[in-house]
Amino acid sequence: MLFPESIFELLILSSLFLMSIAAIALIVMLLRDIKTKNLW
Amino acid sequence: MKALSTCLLVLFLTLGLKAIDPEPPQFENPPENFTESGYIKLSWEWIPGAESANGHEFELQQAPDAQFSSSTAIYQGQDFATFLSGLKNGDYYYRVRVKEGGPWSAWSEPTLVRVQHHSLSLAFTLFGLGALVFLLTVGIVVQGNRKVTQNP
Amino acid sequence: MEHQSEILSPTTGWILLILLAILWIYLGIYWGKKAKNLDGFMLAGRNVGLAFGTATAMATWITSNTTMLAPQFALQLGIWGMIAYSTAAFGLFLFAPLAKRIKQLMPKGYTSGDFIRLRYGNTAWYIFLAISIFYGFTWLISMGMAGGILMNALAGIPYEIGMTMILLVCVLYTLFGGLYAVIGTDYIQSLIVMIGIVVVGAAVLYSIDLEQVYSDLQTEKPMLIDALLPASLIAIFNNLLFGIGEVFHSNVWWSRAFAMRKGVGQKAYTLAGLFWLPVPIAAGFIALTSGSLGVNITSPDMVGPLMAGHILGQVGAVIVFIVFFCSLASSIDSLLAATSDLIVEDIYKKMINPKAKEQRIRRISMFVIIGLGVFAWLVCLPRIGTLATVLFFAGPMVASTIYPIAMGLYWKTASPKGALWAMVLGSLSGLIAYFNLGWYTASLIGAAVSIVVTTLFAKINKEEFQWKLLDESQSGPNG
Repeated sequence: MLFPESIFELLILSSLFLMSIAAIALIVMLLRDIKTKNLW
Repeated sequence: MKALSTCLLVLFLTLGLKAIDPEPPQFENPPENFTESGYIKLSWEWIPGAESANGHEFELQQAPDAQFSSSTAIYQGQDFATFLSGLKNGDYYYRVRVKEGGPWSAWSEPTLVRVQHHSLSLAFTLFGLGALVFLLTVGIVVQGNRKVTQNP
Repeated sequence: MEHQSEILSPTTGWILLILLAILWIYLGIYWGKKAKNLDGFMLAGRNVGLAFGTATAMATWITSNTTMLAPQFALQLGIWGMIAYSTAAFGLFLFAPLAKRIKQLMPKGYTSGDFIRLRYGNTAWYIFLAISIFYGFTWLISMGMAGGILMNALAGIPYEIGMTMILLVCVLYTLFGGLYAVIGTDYIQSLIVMIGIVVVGAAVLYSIDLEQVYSDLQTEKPMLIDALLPASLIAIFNNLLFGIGEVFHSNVWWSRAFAMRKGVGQKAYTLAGLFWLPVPIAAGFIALTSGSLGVNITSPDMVGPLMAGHILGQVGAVIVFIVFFCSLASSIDSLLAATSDLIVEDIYKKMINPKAKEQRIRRISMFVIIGLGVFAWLVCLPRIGTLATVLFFAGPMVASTIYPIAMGLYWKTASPKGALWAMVLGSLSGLIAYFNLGWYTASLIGAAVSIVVTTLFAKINKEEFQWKLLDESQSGPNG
């Protein structure tokens, strides 16, 4: 029983997409912490 | 005088041998290999001859039988090893040869890779045990967290 | 000898290495100025916010193991292998509520060793310290070696020099900046690693057709896309439980729980888990394209860097070099800091010199960081490849600590004897499984035995633990 090709592609594309979102979120979080002086 | 002629003879012989085919490479793996996970590394050794300055090239063949009646070349290049993975259950025979600009060497002694994956029942048993332990762990943390949030 | 040529010139390698070294050491000194007292040096003032908290948890979990081993898993165990690696994110997800609980029960705690000592007493504490220090140390060594091997493979920098450089840089900035430097650099490193992986991944997708990759796999390595590859099915939960064991017990994660501001820990660990989840797949799938691109792999742990270099050329090689350096440094610094905390707090302060003043403890902690670095360097020097596999012995050991930790934090009846026997029997049975059934069963068996033992002892135990005993600031030292 093989993984369907669509699952294979979906896994890869969604992981790359999620990582770009995560990188953006991390930057947004930093800016927010700087603005509210909550960095550390 | 005799010593000199012996030297010349040796020199002639070695040169003569060099002019013929290069020595075939030899697998570093044992003649028979066994894997339960479908992956294995094949590596081989080979001592370059006088013409190795021109570069060398290996060819690795795979076949379902020791006679290599229906073989496929799975690697051509300079590396001394290759990593195989994703093999199905079965017997796979491999042999390798080399050339240094000139003709191909003879084939190496073949090596056998026998792939016999773990049984699915063992896999599912361990998968099930793992799933159970994991779910219990989640349960312990989630339930514990809920309890202390309600009455710390 | 297995010829596999480097993908970057040594000169470029050296320039990158020196630039990165200067950057991290400068930042270490800069942030180190914030560390005015011991809590500052060891725990970054116990007031770390959400952005830094999330990034540091994630960066530490992205190690050379993620960037090297995830592609290796993909190449050996296929699609399930990548997913199996991703499940290590559950270590972070499940630790999130624990982080909140830890901060609440031990507002002035320093290490995971503190918890075990106060919760279970000395005997369990000794065993726990042995497991934890063994694990921390093997992890440190495996990464020191990985650093040397990578720089050698990527840029032809000799193994000894590359290994020495990465250890030296990390020791220096951790020494100057303490946990402030570790967390600050972790933020930058995690961003670099994420952007680097996305860029490489996108470039791979641009240069190759996934349909083609899939059909090539189908003919050349069919089991890799098989949903019923037995070895991978077994590996999934084993890897997951190994990950949970690593995160639950290791002081690397506890020290961050202590360092984060109240109310931040749970959110930060949950987000870190989410952000980390796709990394092994995004970094790992590249390995599956090797067949389609006709790249020969001689050593599975080099498949990731090799493919990136092959597809992206010099630019790719530079990115890969920086990504690897960052992923290594972000874990080595954390390990140096957290392991030295464990040794200073649990061994020096609690066993050798309980009356030591703050100034002295900070001095000792700097010596310990240097000592750890030197010791790791000495062990890494001979480049015994098999040594890195010692890290896998730690699997069953750390998995056996999951339940003494988790139940100890939530169940009043979890008992000292239970914790002790869970760790001893779990580790032993896991190691037996390692040698008799295969490495991919060891953590699973260790965890299974541990959960049964801890639960049984908790059920027959009548004594209820008083949570307030965990807060030493209330009960006084050694109380």
